[in-house]
Amino acid sequence: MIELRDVVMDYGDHRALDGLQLSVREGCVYGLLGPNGAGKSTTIHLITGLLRPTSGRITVGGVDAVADPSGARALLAYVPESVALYPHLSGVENLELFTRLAGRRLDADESVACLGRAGLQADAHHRRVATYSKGMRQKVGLAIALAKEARALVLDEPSSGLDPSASHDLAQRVRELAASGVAVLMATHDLFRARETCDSVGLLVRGSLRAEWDADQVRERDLEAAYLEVVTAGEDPLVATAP
Amino acid sequence: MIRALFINEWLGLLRDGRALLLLALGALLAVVSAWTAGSTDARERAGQAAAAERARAAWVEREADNPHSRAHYGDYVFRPSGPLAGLDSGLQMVTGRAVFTEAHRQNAAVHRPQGEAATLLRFDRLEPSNVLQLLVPLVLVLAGFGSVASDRESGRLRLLAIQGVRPLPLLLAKALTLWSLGAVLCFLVVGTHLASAGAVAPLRTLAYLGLHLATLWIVALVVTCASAWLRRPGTAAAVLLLLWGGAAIVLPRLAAMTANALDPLPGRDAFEAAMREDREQGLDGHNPRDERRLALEQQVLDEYGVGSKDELPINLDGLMMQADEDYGNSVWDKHFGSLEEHLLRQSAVTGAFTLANPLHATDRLSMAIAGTGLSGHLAFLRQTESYRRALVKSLNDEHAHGGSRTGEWSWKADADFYAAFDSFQYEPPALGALLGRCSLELVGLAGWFVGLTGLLVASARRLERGGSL
Repeated sequence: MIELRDVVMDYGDHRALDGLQLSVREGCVYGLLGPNGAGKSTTIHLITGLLRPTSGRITVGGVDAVADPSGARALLAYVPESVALYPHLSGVENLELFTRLAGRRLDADESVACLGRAGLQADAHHRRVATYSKGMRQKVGLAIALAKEARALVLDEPSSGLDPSASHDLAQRVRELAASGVAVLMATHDLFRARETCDSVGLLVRGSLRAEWDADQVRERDLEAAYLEVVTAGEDPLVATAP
Repeated sequence: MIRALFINEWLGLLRDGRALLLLALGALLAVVSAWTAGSTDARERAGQAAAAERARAAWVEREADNPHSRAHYGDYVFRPSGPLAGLDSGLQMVTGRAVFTEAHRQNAAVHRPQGEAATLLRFDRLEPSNVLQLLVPLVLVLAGFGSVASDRESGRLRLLAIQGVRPLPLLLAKALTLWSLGAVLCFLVVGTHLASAGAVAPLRTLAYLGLHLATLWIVALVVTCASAWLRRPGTAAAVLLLLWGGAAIVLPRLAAMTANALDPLPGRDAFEAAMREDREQGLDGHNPRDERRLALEQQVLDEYGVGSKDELPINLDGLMMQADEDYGNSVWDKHFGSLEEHLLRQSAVTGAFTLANPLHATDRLSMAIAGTGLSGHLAFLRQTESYRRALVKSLNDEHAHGGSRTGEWSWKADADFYAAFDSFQYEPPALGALLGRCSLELVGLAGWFVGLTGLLVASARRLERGGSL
């Protein structure tokens, strides 16, 4: 569903992605791990058409995201680290507005059902989003993604700043989406959540994928140790051993 | 899509306490300024009509009178308020709207509420046009500086982009929201004016409304483009406030100062002294030993084939007075012509500045539409002088040919003669003619309109390319 082939992204002299190869299948949750500055956000912005790569090919559901970013966006939904909803609207109103902008209209029952599926408590549906916690905003973001009926979902640090309960709740919803056939790409620092949620995990270091593990491998090994091993191996030894 | 975004932007304004407060304050200022200015204008119109009626009654009630005495008794002429003076009093506050017309001299216009003014600069009163041209743009700046920049800073632009929102409809919706906010205030001003003003000029009111709606669209585009190009809402606010201050306060004054420095106007005292000096070189109609008077006297005697003025069948004094008037008129033509050229040259310089400042262009066009600008004032002075000349010539002709003989200063023309004079009626220049003299301002506004529309499209492309997201 999401394919990246030989993707290079340069910001001036700085190479953020260096020949990245990545594939996320339908019904699969793919966790993209990596240290800060590894290129996770750049990868997401390229997939969502917010950036154009220096070279390489990116497709979403077979649609070239570089040549036709609008066509690719129509197939995917995006939940950023901090979902920037309209604070003057309620959860329902935000959901209805963002869904209408995506070309769909929801009636009241559908809106309530969608927010419910995303895990937002009913008593919060009609409250202004300005009063929501970060976790509640994430759930509305997820509801927007659900309402769009997208074939691919991209999440950028979805559990950042969430309490364990909210984070668990979100992971459950993501799994449910994947079970319905949606391809999910999730960039995260949360190794525990990645192990609990993902079908496969890729480790991005300095713009290229240094390791890829499937669900069994992830569960069998100490993910933190494996992570550190790969990341440290990519470091300059002098820097890595510096006090 | 634009409709949904537009409604959402408005909801944002109405549900945000600060924006609501801003809107309420703007509406209050709009209504209060239009109501007070409209009421004041209606009161002034009524007062002026009453004064004109009293002046007319005094003219008629004097009954039989010597024509030259009547020429010195004179007549007051009044320039009615411009058709939309309740919306834009323009230069009326400084130019004066009443002139005492009499023989031998052209008096200055009086009833200048602001007294003497060195330049044709205003913006120091809270009147409807000030509200629309200064405060409403400020309201749009304060309401809209973060319209795009805040969306970008919060990451909402990305969310919108992934939902399929294209930047151009988004920017158009934001610009339309700001414009409609200004339009609400604009309609409040004009509506309150129509409710409170003593007179209504439908065509001019529509032109006034159209001008200000167009200007508010330009302001909305500036605010939206600045918010789209500048990454931080704070930076956008600072830049837009600087632009507003420059356009509303600095540039108009700079334009007036430049015009005055390039082509300084003579002061009123100097102007009148120069005219008096030239006037004294002419024939003295009241001095029997004046050489030119003696030459003209001889010419008349020769025309009538008589040896002395006592034998003339007419009153030579009337001819002498008119000859004196003719000379005085040529002096006035020379000095007023020079002053008018000065004013028009100054106006051309300030007009050139309006190419860089749509608010200043709007100010000048607004005065033209309201009939309260420089062209209207100059037309009033010319019409007043034509009226004075015709009046004095009729009186001198009556003095010369009405039946009296030379030296009969106590001879009186009957009351019917005086009652037959029509009162002065000011004919304001047509709207088309006034706007025709503002071509630079119209070109400037059209240029801003086209240029900013292009900038909005460029801003959308910049967002589309993703560099600013």
